[in-house]
Amino acid sequence: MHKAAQRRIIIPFLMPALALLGIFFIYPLVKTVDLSLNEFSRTGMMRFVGIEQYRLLAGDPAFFNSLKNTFLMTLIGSCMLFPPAMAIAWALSQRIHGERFFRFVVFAPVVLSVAVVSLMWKFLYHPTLGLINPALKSMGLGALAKTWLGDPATALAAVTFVSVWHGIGIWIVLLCAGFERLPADVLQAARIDGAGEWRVFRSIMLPMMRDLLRMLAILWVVQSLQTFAFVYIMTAGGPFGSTDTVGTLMYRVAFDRADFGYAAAIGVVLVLVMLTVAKLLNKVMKRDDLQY
Amino acid sequence: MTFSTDLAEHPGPPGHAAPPPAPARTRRRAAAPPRPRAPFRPHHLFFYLLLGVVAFSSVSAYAWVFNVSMKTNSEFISSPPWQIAESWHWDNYANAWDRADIGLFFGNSVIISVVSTLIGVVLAVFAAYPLARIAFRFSGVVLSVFLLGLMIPWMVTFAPLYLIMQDLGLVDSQAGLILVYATYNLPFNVFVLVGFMKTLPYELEEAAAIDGAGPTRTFVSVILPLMGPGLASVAIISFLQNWNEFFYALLLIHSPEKMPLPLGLFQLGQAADYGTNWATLFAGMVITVTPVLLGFAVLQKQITKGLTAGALKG
Amino acid sequence: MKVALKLVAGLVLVPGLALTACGGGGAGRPAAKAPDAKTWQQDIKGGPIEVGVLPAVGTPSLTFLEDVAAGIEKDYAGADLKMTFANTKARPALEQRWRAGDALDVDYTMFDGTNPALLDWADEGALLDLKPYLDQVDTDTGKPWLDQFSPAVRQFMEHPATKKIYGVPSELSLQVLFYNAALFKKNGITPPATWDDLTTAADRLKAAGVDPIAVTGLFEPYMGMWSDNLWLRTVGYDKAHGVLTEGKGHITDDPGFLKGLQLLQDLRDRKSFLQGFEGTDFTAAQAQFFQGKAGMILMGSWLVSEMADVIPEDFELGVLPFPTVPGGTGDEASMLATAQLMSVSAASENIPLSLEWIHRVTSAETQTRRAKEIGEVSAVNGVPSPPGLPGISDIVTKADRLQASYYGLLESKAKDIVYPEIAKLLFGKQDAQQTLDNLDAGLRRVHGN
Repeated sequence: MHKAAQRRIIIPFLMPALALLGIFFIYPLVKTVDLSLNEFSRTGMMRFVGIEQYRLLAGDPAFFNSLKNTFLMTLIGSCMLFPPAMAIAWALSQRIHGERFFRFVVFAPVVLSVAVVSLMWKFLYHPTLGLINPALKSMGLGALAKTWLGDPATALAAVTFVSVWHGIGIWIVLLCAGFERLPADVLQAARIDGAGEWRVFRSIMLPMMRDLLRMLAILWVVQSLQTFAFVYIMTAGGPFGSTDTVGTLMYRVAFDRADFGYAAAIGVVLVLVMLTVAKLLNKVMKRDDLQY
Repeated sequence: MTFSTDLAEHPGPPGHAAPPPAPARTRRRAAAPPRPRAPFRPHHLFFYLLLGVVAFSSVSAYAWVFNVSMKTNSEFISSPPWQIAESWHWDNYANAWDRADIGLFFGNSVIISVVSTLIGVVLAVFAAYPLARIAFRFSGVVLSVFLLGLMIPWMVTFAPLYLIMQDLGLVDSQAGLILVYATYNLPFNVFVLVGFMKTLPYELEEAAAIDGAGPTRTFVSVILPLMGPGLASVAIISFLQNWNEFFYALLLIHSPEKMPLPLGLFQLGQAADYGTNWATLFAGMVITVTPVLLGFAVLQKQITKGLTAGALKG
Repeated sequence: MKVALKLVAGLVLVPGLALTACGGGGAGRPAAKAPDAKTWQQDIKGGPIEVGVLPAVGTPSLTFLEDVAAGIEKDYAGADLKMTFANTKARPALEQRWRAGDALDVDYTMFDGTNPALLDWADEGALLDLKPYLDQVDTDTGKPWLDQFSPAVRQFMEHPATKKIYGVPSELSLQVLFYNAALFKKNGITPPATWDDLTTAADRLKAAGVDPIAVTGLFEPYMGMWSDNLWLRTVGYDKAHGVLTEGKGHITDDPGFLKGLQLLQDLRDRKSFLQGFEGTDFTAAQAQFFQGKAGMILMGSWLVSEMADVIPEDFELGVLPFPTVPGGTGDEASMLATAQLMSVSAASENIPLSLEWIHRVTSAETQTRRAKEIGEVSAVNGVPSPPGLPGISDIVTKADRLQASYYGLLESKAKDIVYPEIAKLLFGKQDAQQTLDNLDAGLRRVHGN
């Protein structure tokens, strides 16, 4: 009965969003697939070359290097992001002292523009004039001083850290929303039963938020596989390609070389990679779910 | 950002979910007792430590930006990053205001970001509802299309997008930019809202149907009020995205009188890159960031309320 | 999510939707109604035009150009010149406008006769051939307009095949070696004219406790300036350009390539580069030079106008061409430079006014004022050196040829091959021979030879 009534609203509810999506996103995306089958001149004249661009891509070490870095960044970033974001959201949901203040400052960096944040960290990372190395030296840890952005071993992690530092507020907001939705009576009951806070977190909160976490993990993967701005501004992909991501590679190919066909091919492959990873992630995290 | 979330009923057993009568709204808001602060527990130490570190880094960042905005350019280049400005150069602010046309661009940015965020959130919540709560044949496909929308590599799709905007006469128009922003907010919003809606018990609709409510009314008066936290989150995130977006604005807006703030800041940034005009850039940053932070501080009460409304009833 | 994959597969198989090109392309452009070359100056009428400019809002450079525009607006009733920022980061959006047939009337970076990647717009008829207008006798000087430009920049302006001219230079950027003259004097060091002088100077600066050479490790093409200039001396422009950018021959063919790399390695091994340069941003590197923490920097001549605000008043700047390399078999006297060319759109609605803009910007009078007030280096004959760059005009005059900076690599696939390897060499990750081997392998791959 109300199922039938419900069906009537499906189309009117979906239509406006799908219409916009169709015009401004699906159409350009379909065109992108089309572009990837062509070769371009700088002026936008194109010539059909079939799957030639994909053939080139399969033998391009720069592409595989960028793909590797992008995955590394996603992985390192998720380690830097989720544990602290979880802990902070958990803390903020506890009504601790100064909660409002903390909520505010934790979110504040999100508002700063990427350009300014990158600039600031470039100065902080500066090997001799910055903040980190002199601080390490003054604490007698001079041995730990690095050239950070200038060292292929640390550059990737250093850039990732900045992007996590800048964006963590957003994830905390989403996680807070999740914590706030937990049924307070259940938590209360557990606490009354004498469960420690860590126990409550691990055995009740975490499992109940699994769906949200899965969704956030997928969002993180999809977002960080497209990483561009911080890398572009801070290292431009260097030193010697150690921070080059698929995003920065695509930007160079499209705008420096004006090679839209190749850039589109990279884009299409990237979308396929993202879909596959999202799918895998969804599956893996669902399977975990079954244990409960 | 008042999604009248205090109406939110915690999802309970069937039958308990009928919306409370509307008049209760204002009274309840006024009367909602402040949630008691949690008594101190040992594990709070860990929280304070963590929050302290994050808060310190964020406050320091703002202090640094503000400090630089008070320096001269040569001071910025020649002094250690954390040295306090020798004297306060408020003239940097006057320069930034004039050069980046901040008054005008700010107004444009407010219009563009607010309208696009509204469209993006409203359309998304409507689209999310059937996807999350009604089983139909192509729901998986439709959801995948939205998920695909999160994966657009803008470096390559911008060229076709420009052409279609040109065909629609939407190049160099704020309406065009608004539609693009709203569209590009949709996938994220839908994805998050579907996630939130799926956590609501299905008995909600059944109970409402028994009470004789049609599906639209059920959506508006039962589901929507429970979406407070989710809506608040996606609205904030969409707004920030639209507020800071740069590339599509650069691509689609050509007339200075229609430009949003990031284009003004871009010019200041270029002046910094090509003319070491750092102080002005930072003053411009402070000017543009302050209202957003203030807005967040003011609205935070509402947002937090929205976020906690669910727990309140528990 | 499985459906999504199917969906994508479906999209790939829909070639029917794939008809119109990514841009309007060259084909659909309206035929230009170019004014008669003899009378274009009489044809100038008011109206709106949009001109691309390189300086950002709020810089003295832009104020200066706005002044020039105001002059034109005063002279021609109804003329309205809109300035659009057209520098690097704005290019993607502007080039899309060109592709969509919605071009600026005057724009930068649309043409460079020495760079095969930048001939497309001219070849497809998007740009106005300026030759007929440049050949006319200029009423101001009594000589053809073309004659006022230094012959050294002609190759940038001219299409190598058709000999048509598609751009006039509003300014020049030269790669020169800047040094801290006061510091050199204090330590009794002679400004380096040859490579040996340079290494000696580096050692003595080092001994005096100053890092000899400032360089950034975070922007590879700026490190590449060192190998670019060395190869200019040890290999020569045409050969190096052929091997690196065009894939003509191999990098192992000419021993000059290895020699250049060995000299660079030697410089590195003497610890001549700024301490911690690997993680130093270019702004910071430049600032360290002007603070006296480094003695020299190889940089574009824009350095002085870029850093004008932060150069200490008592700073004594010395400018030199890149040192010669004794025994080098390349171009001992040429230098790497970029001419910033303004091109006129063939589809401009108001070609005469657009021509008037480029005419006025490149007039000897404007260029002289620009050199004095802004510090731009001019490509126009007889314009003096900017006060901040003493002697640069002489350096340009003495250079027998100006050659394209970066060998046109920045727009080429080989960019990702060449500069990262140079960075590895500078960072001490590999020696000259390994660098050459890696370059060889990479270049063979991207050029397919």
